Amino acid sequence: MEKILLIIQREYIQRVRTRWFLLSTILTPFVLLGVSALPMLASQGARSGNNNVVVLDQSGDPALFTTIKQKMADSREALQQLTGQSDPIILNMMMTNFELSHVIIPPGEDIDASRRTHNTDIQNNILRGYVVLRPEVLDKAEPEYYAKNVSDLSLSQLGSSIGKAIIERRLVRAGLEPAKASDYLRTVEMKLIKIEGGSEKQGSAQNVLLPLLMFFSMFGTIYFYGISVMQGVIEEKQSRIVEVMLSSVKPFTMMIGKIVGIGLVGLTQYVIWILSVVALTKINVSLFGGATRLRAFSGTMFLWFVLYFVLGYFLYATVYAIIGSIVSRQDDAHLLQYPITLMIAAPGLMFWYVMRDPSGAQTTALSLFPFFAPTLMMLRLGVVAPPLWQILLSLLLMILTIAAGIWLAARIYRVGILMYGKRPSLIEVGRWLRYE
Amino acid sequence: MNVIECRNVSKRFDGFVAVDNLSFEVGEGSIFGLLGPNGAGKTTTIRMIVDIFAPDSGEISVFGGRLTPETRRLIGYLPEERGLYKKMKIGEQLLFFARLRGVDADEAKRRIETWLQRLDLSQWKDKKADELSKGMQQKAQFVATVLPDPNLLILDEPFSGLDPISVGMLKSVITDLKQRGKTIIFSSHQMEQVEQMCDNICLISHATKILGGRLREIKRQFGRDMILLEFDGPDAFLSNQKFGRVTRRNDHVEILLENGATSQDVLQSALAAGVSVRRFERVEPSLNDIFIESVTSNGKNTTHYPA
Repeated sequence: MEKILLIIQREYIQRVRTRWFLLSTILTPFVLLGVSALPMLASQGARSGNNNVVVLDQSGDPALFTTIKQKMADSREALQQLTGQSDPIILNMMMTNFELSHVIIPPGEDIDASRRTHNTDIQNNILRGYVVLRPEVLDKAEPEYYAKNVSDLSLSQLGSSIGKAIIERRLVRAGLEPAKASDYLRTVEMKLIKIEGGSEKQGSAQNVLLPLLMFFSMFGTIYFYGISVMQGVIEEKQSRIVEVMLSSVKPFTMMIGKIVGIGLVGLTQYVIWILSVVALTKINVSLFGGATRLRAFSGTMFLWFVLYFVLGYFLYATVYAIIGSIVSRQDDAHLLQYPITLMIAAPGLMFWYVMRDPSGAQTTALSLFPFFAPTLMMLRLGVVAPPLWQILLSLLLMILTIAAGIWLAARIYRVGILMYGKRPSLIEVGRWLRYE
Repeated sequence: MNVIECRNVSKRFDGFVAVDNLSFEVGEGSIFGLLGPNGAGKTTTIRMIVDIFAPDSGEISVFGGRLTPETRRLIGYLPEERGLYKKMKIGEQLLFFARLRGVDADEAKRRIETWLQRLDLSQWKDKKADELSKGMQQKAQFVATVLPDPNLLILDEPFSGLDPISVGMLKSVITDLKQRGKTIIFSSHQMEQVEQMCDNICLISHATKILGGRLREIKRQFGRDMILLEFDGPDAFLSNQKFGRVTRRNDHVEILLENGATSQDVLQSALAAGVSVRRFERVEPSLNDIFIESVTSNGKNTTHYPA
């Protein structure tokens, strides 16, 4: 017992002291903050590009402009409901928040002459563009938009708001009450209701950022620390440290000590990351609003995350340790390590599939598969709340797989770690299992 | 009492024979040299002794039986490769290894200081292993081996790659350890480098034992009657006589006595010839000579001299 603690301690201290650990641990929260601040930065960029649009109105309908503004507000609200996103920064990213100003052109005046006066403002980037509403706009003339950039995606939002406003004013002119006209023109969205088990649930909106972050950090850390275990095993084998240690510890004890030690390094890193994220949100560093967005990490989410990391790491580390014990040199490891790395990375290919159907039968089945569970279940957790039994089942399956892996490792390791020369075939390795 | 006994041990790898029917024993408190050229099977033998793998046939007993966790603890094993963590400071790794082998931290630190000083490594204590030269790493690894004060030291090629000063240091350490009652077995392919320190040897070549036993006995046996003669004057008297085979060296001649000639005969004829004798010595053949002679003349005949 004392010996395994010594081994754990050595692995831990040697690794925590490296420059790599210090850098990645300190820098990651800032990178995280930076990534989450991206939408804000993007929208700030958009704002500095200015959203001022002048509406040159010769329609003669005093209510048209307010109706346009109303429609714009409506579509923004619809977007908000559709995405479940109330953060103005993210909304701004998805939909430009145009600042409309109203210029009434008296009837009879030359609207083209007066609109040209704004061209210099556009050249000088004071104006993003201007809208021209000609007198016949309530009959048949189409609204016009002049700007340097007319391929802007958000213009469709502006166009449809103006279009809706014009139609509404036409209906009012035809004798409809304004309130009714507005009512009739309300966009009809189809409600999405998911039938899950016996209950019906309104489809909730997705936040892509959080699952994406969790997915990649899970993948990255399991891979990195798993590979570290393998390299450590190879180093001990190659330098014959295992043989020297034979007189005091069993190779298997060394393996477990190594896995635990390196795992604790990973855990330390996560604890520091989580604490710094919490601290950053607590002291409300509204650095570009990044902190606000990180608040979406809830406490239980952290808990699941750490749990999936620990189990996922143990699972893969055991496999990587076996590989390390079989090969004699780092180079030989590549071929064997490849399918394992693929297994960690494979859920990346399923990312959008899971995002689209986070509770589907296939997604559920895949996320229960022990080797995919850490990434896929975490992804699902970020998108919907999977039933608790599925989470617990996936954890249980992982624990069972880890137990089987350790059983296997114990048998392969004791033979492999003392074996040199050419890489043994899988059949030979299979034979090791039966050695006494 | 024998600390190690090997009885008819054989080991094959993928069709080639690494060790063939090898037998020897190592007495307590002695220095035993497992000698032979590269690829003779020395490392394989050592790895069987420390139970890294089992012999295909034959028996190895260490401390009177198969290795148990208890007897294992009494062994200090130095593999041929550098058994050090590359990125770890020398002092830290030595402490780690010593503590893993049950030495308490304070005692281990004391011993580390003493040993590093003795092997002239003190100023490298806070350097990482991969900042040290190969020779220094080897010395550091030797320190790791002796730190837990094992009763049986098994050293695989402890001198290879060391400069003469370090070789001297290590030899004197090993001799000291013997004085303190430790049993030491080491392998070497440089026979002339180690012969004077071995009590017993086992010479192997191509997986087979060439000869073995007490070094003194072997030398006496092979040392038949070799005379070294250094003189000034004509050497005609050498060809007239029938002492035996005469080999002319740079500044002396070697005479292998034959036909019942004695050293006395050689000296007398030299004096009679009127040459002035500067050196007259009865010499023992070097292990190298013995090895070459055994391999060439005896073939694979095993000669065993009881210890």
